[in-house]
Amino acid sequence: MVELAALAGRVMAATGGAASGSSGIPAGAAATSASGANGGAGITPGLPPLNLPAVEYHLLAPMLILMGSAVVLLAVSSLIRPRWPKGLYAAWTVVTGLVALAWTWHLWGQVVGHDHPGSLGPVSAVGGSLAIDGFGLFITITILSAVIIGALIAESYLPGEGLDGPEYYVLAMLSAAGGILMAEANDLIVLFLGLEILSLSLYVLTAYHRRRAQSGEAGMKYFILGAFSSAFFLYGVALVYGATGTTSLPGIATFLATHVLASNGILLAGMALLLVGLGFKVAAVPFHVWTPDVYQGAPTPATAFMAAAAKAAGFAGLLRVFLSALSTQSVNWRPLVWILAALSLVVGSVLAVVQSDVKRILAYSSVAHAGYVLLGLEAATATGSISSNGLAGAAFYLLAYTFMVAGSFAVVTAVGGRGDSRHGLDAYRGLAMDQPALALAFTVLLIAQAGIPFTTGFIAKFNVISDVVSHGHAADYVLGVLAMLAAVVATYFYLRIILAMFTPPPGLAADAPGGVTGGGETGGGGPATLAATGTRVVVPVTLGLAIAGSVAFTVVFGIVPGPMINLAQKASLLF
Amino acid sequence: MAPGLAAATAPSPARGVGFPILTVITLLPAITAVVAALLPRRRIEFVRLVAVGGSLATFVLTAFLTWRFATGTAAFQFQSEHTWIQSFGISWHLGVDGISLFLVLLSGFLFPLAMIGPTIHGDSKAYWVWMLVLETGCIGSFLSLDLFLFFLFFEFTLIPMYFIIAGWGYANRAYASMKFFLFTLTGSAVMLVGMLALVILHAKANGGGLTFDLMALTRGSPISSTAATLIFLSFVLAFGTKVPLVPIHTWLPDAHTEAPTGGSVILAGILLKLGTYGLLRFGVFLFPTQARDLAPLLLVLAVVGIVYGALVATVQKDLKRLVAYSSVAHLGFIVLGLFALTSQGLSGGVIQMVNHGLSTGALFLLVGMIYERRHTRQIADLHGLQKVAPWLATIFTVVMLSSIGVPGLNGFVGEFLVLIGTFITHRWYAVVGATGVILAALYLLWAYQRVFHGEPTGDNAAMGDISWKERWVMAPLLLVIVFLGVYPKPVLVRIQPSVDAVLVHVHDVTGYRQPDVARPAAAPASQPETGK
Amino acid sequence: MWVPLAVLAVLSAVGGLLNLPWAPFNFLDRWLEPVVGPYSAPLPSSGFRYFSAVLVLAVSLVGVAVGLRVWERAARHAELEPTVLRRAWFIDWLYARIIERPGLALSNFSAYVVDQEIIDGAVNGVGGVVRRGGRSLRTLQTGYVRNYALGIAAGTVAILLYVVVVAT
Repeated sequence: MVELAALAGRVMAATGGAASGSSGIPAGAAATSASGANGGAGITPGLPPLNLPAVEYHLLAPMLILMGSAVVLLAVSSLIRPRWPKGLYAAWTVVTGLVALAWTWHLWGQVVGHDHPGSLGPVSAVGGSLAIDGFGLFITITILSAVIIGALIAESYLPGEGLDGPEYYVLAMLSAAGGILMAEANDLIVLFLGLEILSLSLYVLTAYHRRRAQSGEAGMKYFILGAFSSAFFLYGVALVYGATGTTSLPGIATFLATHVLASNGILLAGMALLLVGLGFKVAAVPFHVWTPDVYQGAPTPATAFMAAAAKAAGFAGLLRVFLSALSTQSVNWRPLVWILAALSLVVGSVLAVVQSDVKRILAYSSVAHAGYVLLGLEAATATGSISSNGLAGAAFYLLAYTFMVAGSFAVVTAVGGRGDSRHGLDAYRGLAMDQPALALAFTVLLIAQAGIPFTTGFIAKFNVISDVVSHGHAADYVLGVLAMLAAVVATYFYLRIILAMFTPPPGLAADAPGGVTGGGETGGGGPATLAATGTRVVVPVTLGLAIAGSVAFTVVFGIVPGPMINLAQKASLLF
Repeated sequence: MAPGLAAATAPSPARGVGFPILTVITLLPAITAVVAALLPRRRIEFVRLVAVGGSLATFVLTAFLTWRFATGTAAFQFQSEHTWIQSFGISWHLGVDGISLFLVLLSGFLFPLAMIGPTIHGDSKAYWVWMLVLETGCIGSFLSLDLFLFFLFFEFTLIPMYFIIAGWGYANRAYASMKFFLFTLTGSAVMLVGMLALVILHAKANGGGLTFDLMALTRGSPISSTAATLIFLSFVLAFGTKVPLVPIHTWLPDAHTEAPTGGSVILAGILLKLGTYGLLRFGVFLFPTQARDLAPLLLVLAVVGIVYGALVATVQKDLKRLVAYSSVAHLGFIVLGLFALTSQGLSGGVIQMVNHGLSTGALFLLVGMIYERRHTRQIADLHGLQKVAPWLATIFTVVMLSSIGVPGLNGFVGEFLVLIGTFITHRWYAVVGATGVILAALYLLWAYQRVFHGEPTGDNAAMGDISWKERWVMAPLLLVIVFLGVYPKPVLVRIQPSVDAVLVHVHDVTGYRQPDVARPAAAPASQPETGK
Repeated sequence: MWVPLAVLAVLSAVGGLLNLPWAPFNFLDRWLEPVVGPYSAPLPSSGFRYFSAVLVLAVSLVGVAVGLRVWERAARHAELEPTVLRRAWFIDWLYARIIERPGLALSNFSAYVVDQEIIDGAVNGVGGVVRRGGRSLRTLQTGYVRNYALGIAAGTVAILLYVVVVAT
């Protein structure tokens, strides 16, 4: 912001316009007045030095690691002979993710602190345009987990589809970097920047499968609709800037706290448009319309990454804007969020009931999950006590959801087979006989999404519902009950998938002589009974690793959720 | 501290057993399930050994627990408490008192029978694994003294039961299992909101942090009456769906009929009791005022259940469905006793929970044996079985009489106490409820006559009697049925103090007390005049 | 089948001795005292009890004699058995009309109308509503970007309307 203002001031001065009257740019830049006071001499020596903000590289490291690694990967891979080394790119991505994760953890210790408050505390970086606080780091961890799992899934998918190459991983890492930027944005323009970096890479990832027309179509739809909603978002930013005079989130908050707006129409319109733009990204009803087609058309590893990371980043932006900048306007946006949450829950669950394609079912269920996270937003206060900290509830939900949905789409990848085409419920029939461990893993992930106890899904729902209830108004109770009823409806289609897995396919004897063979291992083991269509579901090692990791996270932290809950509760905002 | 709470929270008499027995009893079935699941299916006999061995070991532990249970005290014994999720005030808090002791024992007793008694068609290993997981869920629910922990186990039992019905059930199992799951889940879902509201309102009213501990929630200033009533109703909805109370009972006939024999035994014997146990422990005990005020509503529902269940059972054409509806009727008796809010009524309700589990569990096992041989449950197809299967007929007669409530068998003890307990405070409810005994005789005897009496023809004549293994499986049930009918004192003497403590707590909070009935032999339970 | 009869016969023969008011037959007199407490007041007895015992005995013997006399030749005397006696005072007919038929009607109504149609109908109806709702909402997903964009725009307009109307 400072740089732009300084440049603008100098240009104005060069064209001879009066410095003071020039365009009313807020006097946040000493450089402007300084250059203006110089008498508008143009680009001449004797100019004051550029006031560049300090760039705290160590605070930005996770994002920079991802970006740098992506660029290096692209460069290195162009120098390797065209026989793609098996698994190199995935390994590279996973290692990058792990390194970034380690650094983030180190930052967490500094900013938030593990056992006692960190030495640094929440800080803003790059001249106040980024906020390195607990929340940003928490979402960073979430997004990095999505990257790692996504890379593992992609490794088992891309070679088989003839799409091997570094580009996928490069795009994924860049997209994640954009997501992290969104999570740590302290300024609306920076938020938009992160949003676009995230989205553009995702558009390409969606259309990545050249040979599937669905993939191209999905990418096209995502791109057009995404651009459409980004325009709304940008317009919202402009309106908010017009109303408050700044795009910096703390600046907006200060402005709103100290000024009473005579007519707040512009501010509210801007707020509404921001909600629209970010609502699109997180797939809240009625901005969810792209979700089924895009999730279904995109290559399944991309769907996994998208469902987890994009939602986390989108919600990070949403929570930041509404809780840190616009918290004083909560009486205005809370009813909106209530409606959005209720609609997402109902529409997501109800529409999924009538689907027969598993990818679409999962797409609609992720719309419903967005509703649950919106519950956290609806109940949140910027500085809540532990029992009513909607922010922590939403954050925990995002983390739990990331693992559940990434794992689910990993299973879908396995069953999808060559060409990524077997996604109907029939494809899942008899999976329990063919690949018992896979079926069991999918069962665990699905019942976790349904919110059955002893899984993180239950704890996550419990968390958001308790936040809503502790907010205490009648409308909140109604929303809580609605959310639980939506969970019951959702259980129907989750169980339908599970039931299909455990039902023997038609044409096969219910109990083959001697019972089902194999000890329940994935991949290897003796010749298992073939599914009726004759294709055998294969689970490569990397995929198995991804699925196992997701299931482990879901179950372990479902039984001992304490550490994760504490982590989420420390994910507070900068102020 | 109020005497009722003092009695329940008194430190347990120092007869510890040296290891956290309740935690072991709760987790042993689950650990056995994991071990059994990892064993290869080829060595099915070994898997069977491990699975059945684990559940028998659990039974031995529950019997040991009963033996070491101290009588004459209402305190929760063998408590084990560990902080679990600190920020929410959730702890792993287990404890057993007179009310839950016999439900735990019943679970330990019925599960091995359900696992080895019936013939399992299909994948036995998975069946045993799910049964063991279900056992952990049931026992955990009965032993939890932390609201969150109870809810966790309570809702968790739905998953194994769903898989058991859907995986090993009869023709209409997909519909029945889904109906069961979604129906009961709806009640639980609403209860979650109520439970959270209770905990959060309680924390707000009492300052300080959240706590889900049962005893902590009964202390301190109460929450607003409107809120308490709504929360109580949400609990009633959840537990009432499980009991089941009419009219939210229709999942039960389908689920019971389509479930495999072992599944029906556990469903009727134990899972239904989760509802009544919840009504007592988390309904009456947590919300005494609402329980007293809304008792007429629940008594009406109970009586409706008794009569309606019996009426509908009379015209059932499917033998198993008939037994299912008889469960609705019998559970109505239990709820009647619980909400009579008298010492006899409550004891009767609690002991009837055990009795019903035994007799209806046995009935389902017997119906399963008939089905195995005749492949039909339709009463119209069954005739004259007494001639070809005298052992089956004899055992069926004894169990049937127990279900009717004939003196000398266990059913009578519970029903008698319930009716007396209700008569003291709500005379006409008891009168209508008593007709339920007659109606039970009606549908059971009529069904018995049609199925067992007469001359067997066609396939009925070719049916064989039950095998020695099956007789050995039924023997323990019969023994306990007769024993409890003749000498229920060991059970009643352990139930009584806990039940009285509940009533004293109700009195402390609401001032409600059952009218004194002159009892010459025993001294009346002391009801101290500490009004609030 | 004779075993139960034998048992009954023996008990019938000696059972009458129970509760004669002399030891050792009156051991049941105080059997329930531990539970219900001692008798309040025994009924006053008078000499009337001997007379009533003799009277009852006499009437019974007369009845036995009459019966033997009438039925010693033939077991059937149609003229002595009017319909009302043959049909056991129409008590069974009365039970059937008053209790059995209405009871069965009520049972059938409960089972097949109330339980199956009304209650289960409501339960399945909930599922049906969800299904129908899903199917109709499904038509909004046309697959065309233009419709999707319209949907997003419509949502935006709705939110803006809300903001303009309600919030300002």
